[in-house]
Amino acid sequence: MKLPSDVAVDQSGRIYILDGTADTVRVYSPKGEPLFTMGGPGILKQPLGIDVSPAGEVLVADSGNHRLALFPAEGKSPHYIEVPSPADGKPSDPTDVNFGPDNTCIAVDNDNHRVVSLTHSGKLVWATGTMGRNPAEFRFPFLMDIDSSGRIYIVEAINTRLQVLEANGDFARFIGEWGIEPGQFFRPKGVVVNNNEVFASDSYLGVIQVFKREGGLIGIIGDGKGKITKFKTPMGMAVSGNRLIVVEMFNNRVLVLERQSQ
Amino acid sequence: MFFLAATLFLLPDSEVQAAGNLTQNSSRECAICHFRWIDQFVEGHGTALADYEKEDVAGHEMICFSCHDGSTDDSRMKVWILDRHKTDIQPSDKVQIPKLFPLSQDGKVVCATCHSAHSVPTDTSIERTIFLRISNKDSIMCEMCHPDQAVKDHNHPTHSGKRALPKEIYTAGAVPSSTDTNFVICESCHTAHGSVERNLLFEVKADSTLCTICHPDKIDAANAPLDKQVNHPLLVDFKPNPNVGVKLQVGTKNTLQCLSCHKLHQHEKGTKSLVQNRESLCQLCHADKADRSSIADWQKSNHPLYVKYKLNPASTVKLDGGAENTVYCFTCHKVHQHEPGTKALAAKRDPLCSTCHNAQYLVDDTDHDLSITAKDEINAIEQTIAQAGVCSACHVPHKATGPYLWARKVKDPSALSSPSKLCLSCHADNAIAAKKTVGRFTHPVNIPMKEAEQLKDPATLPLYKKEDGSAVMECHTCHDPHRWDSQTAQKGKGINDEGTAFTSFLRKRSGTDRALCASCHADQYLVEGTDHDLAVTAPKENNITKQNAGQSGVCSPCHVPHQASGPYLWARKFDKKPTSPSSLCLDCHDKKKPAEKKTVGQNSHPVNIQVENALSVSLPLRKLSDGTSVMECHSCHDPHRWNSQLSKKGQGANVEGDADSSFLRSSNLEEPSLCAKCHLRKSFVAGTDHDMRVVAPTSLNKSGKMAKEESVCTPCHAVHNAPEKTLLWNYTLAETGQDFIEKACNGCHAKTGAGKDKVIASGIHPKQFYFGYHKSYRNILLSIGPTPDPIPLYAQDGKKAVSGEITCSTCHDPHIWFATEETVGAGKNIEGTVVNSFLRKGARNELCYACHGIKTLLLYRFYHDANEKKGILGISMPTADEIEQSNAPRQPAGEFNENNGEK
Repeated sequence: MKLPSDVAVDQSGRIYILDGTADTVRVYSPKGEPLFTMGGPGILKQPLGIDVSPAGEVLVADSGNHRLALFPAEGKSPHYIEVPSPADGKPSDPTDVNFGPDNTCIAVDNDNHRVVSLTHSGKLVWATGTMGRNPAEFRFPFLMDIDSSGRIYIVEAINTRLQVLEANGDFARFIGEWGIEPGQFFRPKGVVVNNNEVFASDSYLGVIQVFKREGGLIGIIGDGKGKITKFKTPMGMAVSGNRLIVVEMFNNRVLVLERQSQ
Repeated sequence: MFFLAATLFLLPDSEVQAAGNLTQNSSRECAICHFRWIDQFVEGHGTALADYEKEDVAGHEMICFSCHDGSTDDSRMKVWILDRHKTDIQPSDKVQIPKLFPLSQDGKVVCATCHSAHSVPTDTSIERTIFLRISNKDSIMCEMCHPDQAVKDHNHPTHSGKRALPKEIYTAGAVPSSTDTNFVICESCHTAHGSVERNLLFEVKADSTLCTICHPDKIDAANAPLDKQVNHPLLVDFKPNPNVGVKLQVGTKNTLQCLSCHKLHQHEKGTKSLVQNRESLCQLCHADKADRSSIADWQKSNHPLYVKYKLNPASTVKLDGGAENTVYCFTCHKVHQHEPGTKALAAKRDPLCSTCHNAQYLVDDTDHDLSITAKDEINAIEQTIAQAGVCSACHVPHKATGPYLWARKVKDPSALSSPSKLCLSCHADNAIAAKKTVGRFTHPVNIPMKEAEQLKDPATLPLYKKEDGSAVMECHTCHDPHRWDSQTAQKGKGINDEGTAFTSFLRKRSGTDRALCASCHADQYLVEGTDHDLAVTAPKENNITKQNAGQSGVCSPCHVPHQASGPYLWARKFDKKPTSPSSLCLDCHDKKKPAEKKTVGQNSHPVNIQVENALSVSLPLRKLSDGTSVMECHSCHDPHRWNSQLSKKGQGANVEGDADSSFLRSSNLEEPSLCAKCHLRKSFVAGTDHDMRVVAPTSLNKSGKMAKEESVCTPCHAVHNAPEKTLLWNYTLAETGQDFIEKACNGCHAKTGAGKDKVIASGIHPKQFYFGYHKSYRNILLSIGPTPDPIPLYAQDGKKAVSGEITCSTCHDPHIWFATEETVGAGKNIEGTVVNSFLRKGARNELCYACHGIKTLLLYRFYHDANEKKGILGISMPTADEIEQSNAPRQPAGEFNENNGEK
């Protein structure tokens, strides 16, 4: 894979890696054995974000094609969901997507600095955000995740924070801020929510920090010996049981971390 | 995929509450790129998350990548997946980077060397395009660092162009010139990011497409039929030879590309952007098409290169040979826009080849045009004449099977060790020219020529220079295989024509025209008008080709160059197989033959006999395989020259010869020059009392020839048609005499003979001497041992015989007057004494003394004086007259011995 961006895990523990420069989803077993691929040139175009439903459906934010691609479980032919562009805005730029409530898809529109909720038929349920620094404003929202209660966690690369929205798109809170101290971000990229933990990667600082859903910093991924683990451009992440799966984009690889008891 | 163990590095329960970056903060905005400017670093320390940063890395790759990874702009494909301008490297000596373009602290190229977010004062927000440091109008920014890549005449032209550039390159990302959209600039082909090939070239489909979309005439359509193709194949399998010293580019799957041959930057001026000079470029791949060995050009298997050529003034083809008109690949070939359907030829084959080889095209429609004589024949590369032209049957420009670019199939290349063998490979049994073979007896080739002496006109009759420096004649010395008639610069008649002595690809006319043969054999043409010119002596006589001398020339009655009947290119049909060169002479000089009036007779000088001291004999002898030399007719006769003293032709009439003429190699009339070459001692008879011209000039020999009109030998000997076989004796034999020698001597020394003044009155030596027992003269001679001169014994028939008897010539050498002074005589009749008188040295002191002891002196002195001998021996010896008168059989020697006075 070359410069992969995001990863997802299904209920069986299979790992879906988005190798966007190859327009391909590469599926591996929990042990890391290659299983099959999805997409390909002509189907996807430089996608960046991915999610997998409990039923095994795969949802890809197909940035280059300005749409979402919904693959049936293990299916080859996706269903496409166009991501609308705002009036007077740029062509939509979906950089990540998650399965939302009520058969919706919650997608980030990076170039238009907003988040949209779409039905599988492509109907816009809601949209929120413009470019800016205030609540419900974004500067280059990138990857995202949704917690069990439906809250939406969006990484803002340039605003250097996580912005949490309610399931209906309303602003909930920020997590993190500009800086290089623990709990701060310089280039936040990926987010994944697991129970009460919110994992956020910083691609330039090369760290993954863990926050409470409410925003407090829990800690930083380390090696168990008091040393912070440094990643090379960590991007999208996924959690599977006691495993944290991290994409290292520049290293063209995916790391699987296993939680150790304290 | 990597599996790691991880723990949470837990911090004390943090109450860090996100501020959310709600306010614009200029220092923060700057630090988005200027990581070094973050407060902690400014304060001089790092944090738990970031080590202390000392350098401003704003323009370094990882800072740029942190935004261009898709999170603000997805440049993964354009910048990081595809080829891009190199960063994080020290600039090489090949580039010159102005100070305007900053390097990193350690002197490396970084993104910020070219780019700056501040160069265009439009918007401070990061979401806008990050511009270059200066305007790259007309790619001037590229040229600032890479000036060598834009130098005129050494690079692809830039800032020029008359044609609109195709839209495909703009689709691929090309940037149009700001000055003129027709102009080519660096960014017409290159892009700093997102290229697909080395050298930052645009992705335009694949491989050489970037070149060919602007130069469509340099590539043929993929489905173009062969006869429509006009360019060197492109995108074909290509395996550059790694040993040529030049690294040639290959494309996808090792295919040939434009850049395999062309070098668009920093090429030599005037090379048309080639990777190597034009003279040797092609050989980088087609090494087998050039023979660079040191062997002579004509021996090479490929058309010679780097030789100067002369254009046919009438040719319409313009060859590329440079100022010096020197042959190289591009002289005949064009890589682009060549003649359709050819092997990349600059013009159609026929006008192309004839531009230099015009003279050779006279072969058209001749018997050597195989479309006339063997139209289905194919050459070594399986081409018919119809496919590859008239030359192709014998010559191919490349991969020839033998010298002269030989195109015929050759099983054994060593069989072509001389030029003539090329000819003979066709003109042979079971070959395509089997009807025109040269036969077993043919004019020799590969024979050394003393060029200056033998070949007067080497310019028109070329010899073959061998490696050892010698020059030999070959088929092509006489024949020009490309020109049927030397007198007319015209092609053939288009039919299989039967040749004549005027045509037949001869370089000069032959037959009745002496031009060709006389080039080497001028001396032989002295035969004209002599008795050996059959136009004079046998004008109706036909040779084996059923031609007479008038039809085929003076040589033809005896010689034909090919398919001769025997040695010496004999042109006559033999009744019996010849055994020696003399057989050829005797084939005519025989009964019922053209020279039946000039036969040699039963008794003739022998031929095919060994010549002693052959090295000292200055006559042409025939060397036998055992190393001995024998004489033949031509040893004495030069059949082409009537008179050795005259270098002129004959009189045109049948002339009776004499000892000066008669095709003799030397005159024998005044002096016996010819006979003396073998019989030197015998030639000393001249001027002695045995020279009939001196002592009996009016005497006649048996042939009726008078002594004074003939040679010194003639009164006694006849070379041909002699009356006697022994000694070829040609004078009357006496009736009396114990053996042939005595009869011969007595025939002359008789009252009616030429030697009538010296009649032998007495002196017949007895045969088989006895001293109470039988002892032969041979044994007596053996007991004597070696003598100063041989003392010959003779058999009854006059031949020398070691077991012979004593006869006249035992004591007398009839050719040596004074044995101690071997020289010719005084030319007058001299009265002899016991020390001359043709007496041999040693006869008296050795032979006579062996038997006669003390009486020898007197007996020897008065050997021919019967009265004196009577007194010495006490017996009466019969005189010659008495013997003649008695006409009675001679006493047996033995009987005579019984009455010998020794008793």
